[in-house]
Amino acid sequence: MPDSLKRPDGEEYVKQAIWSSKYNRISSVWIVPIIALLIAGVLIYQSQSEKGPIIHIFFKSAEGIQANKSLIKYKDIAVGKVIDIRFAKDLKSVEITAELKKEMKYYLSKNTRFWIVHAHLSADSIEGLDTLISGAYIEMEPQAGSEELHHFRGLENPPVIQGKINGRVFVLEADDKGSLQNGSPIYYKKLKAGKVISTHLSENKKRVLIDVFIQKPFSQLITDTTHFWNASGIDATIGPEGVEIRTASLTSILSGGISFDNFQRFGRGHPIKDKHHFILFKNIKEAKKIQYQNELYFWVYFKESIRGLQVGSPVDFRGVKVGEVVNFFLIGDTKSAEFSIPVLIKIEPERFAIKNIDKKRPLINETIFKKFIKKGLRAQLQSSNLLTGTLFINLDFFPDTPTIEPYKDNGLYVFPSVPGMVTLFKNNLKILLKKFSSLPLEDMSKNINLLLEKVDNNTLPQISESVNQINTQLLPSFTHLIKSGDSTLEQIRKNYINTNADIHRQMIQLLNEIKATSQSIRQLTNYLNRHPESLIRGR
Amino acid sequence: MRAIEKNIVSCPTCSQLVKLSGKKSILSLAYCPRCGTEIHQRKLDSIQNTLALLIASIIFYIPANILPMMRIESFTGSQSDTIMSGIIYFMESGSYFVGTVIFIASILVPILKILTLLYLVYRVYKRELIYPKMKQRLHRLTEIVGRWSMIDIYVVSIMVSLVNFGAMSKIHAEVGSIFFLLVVVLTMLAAMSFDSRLIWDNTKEHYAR
Repeated sequence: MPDSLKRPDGEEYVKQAIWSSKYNRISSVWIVPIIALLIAGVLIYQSQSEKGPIIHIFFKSAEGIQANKSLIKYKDIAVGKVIDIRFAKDLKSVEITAELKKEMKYYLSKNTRFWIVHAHLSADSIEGLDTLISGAYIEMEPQAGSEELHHFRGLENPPVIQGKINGRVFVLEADDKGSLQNGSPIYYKKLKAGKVISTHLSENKKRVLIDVFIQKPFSQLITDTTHFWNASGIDATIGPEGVEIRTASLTSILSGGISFDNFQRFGRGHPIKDKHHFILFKNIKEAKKIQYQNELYFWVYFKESIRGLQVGSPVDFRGVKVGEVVNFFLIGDTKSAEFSIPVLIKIEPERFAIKNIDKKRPLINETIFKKFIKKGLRAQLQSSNLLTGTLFINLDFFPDTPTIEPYKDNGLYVFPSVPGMVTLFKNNLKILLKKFSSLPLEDMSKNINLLLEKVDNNTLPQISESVNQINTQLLPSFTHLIKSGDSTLEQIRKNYINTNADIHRQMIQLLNEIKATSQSIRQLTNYLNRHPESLIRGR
Repeated sequence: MRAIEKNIVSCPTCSQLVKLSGKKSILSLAYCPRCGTEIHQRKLDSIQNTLALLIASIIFYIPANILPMMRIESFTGSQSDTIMSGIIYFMESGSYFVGTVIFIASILVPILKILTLLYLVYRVYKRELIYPKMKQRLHRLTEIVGRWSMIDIYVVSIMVSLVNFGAMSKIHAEVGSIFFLLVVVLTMLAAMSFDSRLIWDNTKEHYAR
């Protein structure tokens, strides 16, 4: 071993340490837990500040909603999550507890609505198809408000009007709901103008009230003279122009629909408040009909047959319709064996105007009619159509008739009647015959005899003379005339037969062709019966 | 005979045996006379560092368990799972083995590791020399077993990279996994910074920081 590599002996192996005084008693590793504490603090602060409000929503059933999975969405963006589902204390509803995002805290007013969205198929639309895959979710419609509520009652059905659409709500009164549903469309000139929000019974449980929502530009159209009618289904009429089918749209055929319009005949109308009540007419015809507020009822007694008079037959005054027949009965009397037919008529005074009436009571009322009756206003049955025999009641002044003091029967004034035209004619004939029978026929025959004698003696010789003259002068020319007439007639007959034959031939031809056509149609229908698929595929 | 009793230390860099005598004050540090490396009889501030790292890991252990580890996004919606809810899910769906493995690796091991280290630190700090062999074994165990807690992190990272079918399903790692990772790493560091030689240092004279 070379010397250079030899280590010194003993103590040489161990050297003395070099000392310095730099040591810090506290280790720098302590920074790690301090950083950990800081991070934990930030996390706690974040989780606390991000914690949204917890709300409870009560639903009738929580179909398709799962705890910790189902979301609460607004405009298809998740704004919360269902935490818990349990029964309410009375077991009648389901309480869904959900945590919302922090920013939704300010939108929990009493107008905030929640509903469960399922896939929904209707004639109008298909909604919520995405829920088939992702499962049902709860839709929220936030409404800002000063209060912050935490308990809500969920809607059973999605609201018809979602979001902030400007418009107004009106109420329609109808006899029945018909085929209308929540969400049924409302049209104005075939444009979609709104929707049915809800249908419910009126307070007296006799009519159906339909709440409708009309969108903004259309809602300005609605005045007190607007008429609504049910546009559901198909309205088919067969008239002189052929078959006319009127429908609103396929949707309204399936799910019902309402139309409205401002008909010119009702005037411009005045603006109205929200929730104004309108009548829902059955169809456009009813809606177009002018409805009269005032109606005066009268009895008219007829002795003659009223065959041809119907409920709804018009009551005219000199050809202008002033009312209609409401009803009629038959009353017999055992003593006199007389029958009379009281007809209830309705007169709508708004159909006409009368001058110089009492200004205190500008409305036409029964007293005015009383005056007219005194002046000879009478009702009369008249035939409107000779072929069908339909009758109507005509009002007119008959000044010749004896004045009648108006009286009431069953609470209504009786309108005096005069016999109808047919009856009048019969009566006149009777009178004429009577007069005939009262003529002094014997005296008359004597006078005639005298007259005849005179004629025999004086006039007859003169006549024979003139006849002779005629014979000699006029007869030859007459015979000539007759002969030429004969030949013309012959000519005409020939012509006629010729043309007739022509037409006949053509007719036969036509019939043959029709026969051939019908045969081929029959063949076609037979073929289609056997092979209906050929309609699509072809032969 | 032990080196500490002779007050001799081997330099960690050049293996020079250095005699630690003539210490001036408590705040003095010794240096190797040959290579100038800082030398200590025991790991410097072992107890202090271990304790600091343990405290940090305890703090991180809370969000690691509360916050979700991963989020599974599929067309039926998304679902976040914490460690515990994942274990419950496995147990409920009948995968007892997987559930148990994850429970041991992710919950039992970190807790036992932290508790063990705390116990060791406490015992060493109090300079109680009872069952030093058992303590030594415990420390060895924490070092060996500790890394297996990372199994949860591996599962998450593998799932994130494997399950990525676009809209069909997708898995995202969430904040909880980062905290859990920190817990595992910090406990491992704590176990490393603990000087097991301290277990055998029973006397006052031969006690090193």
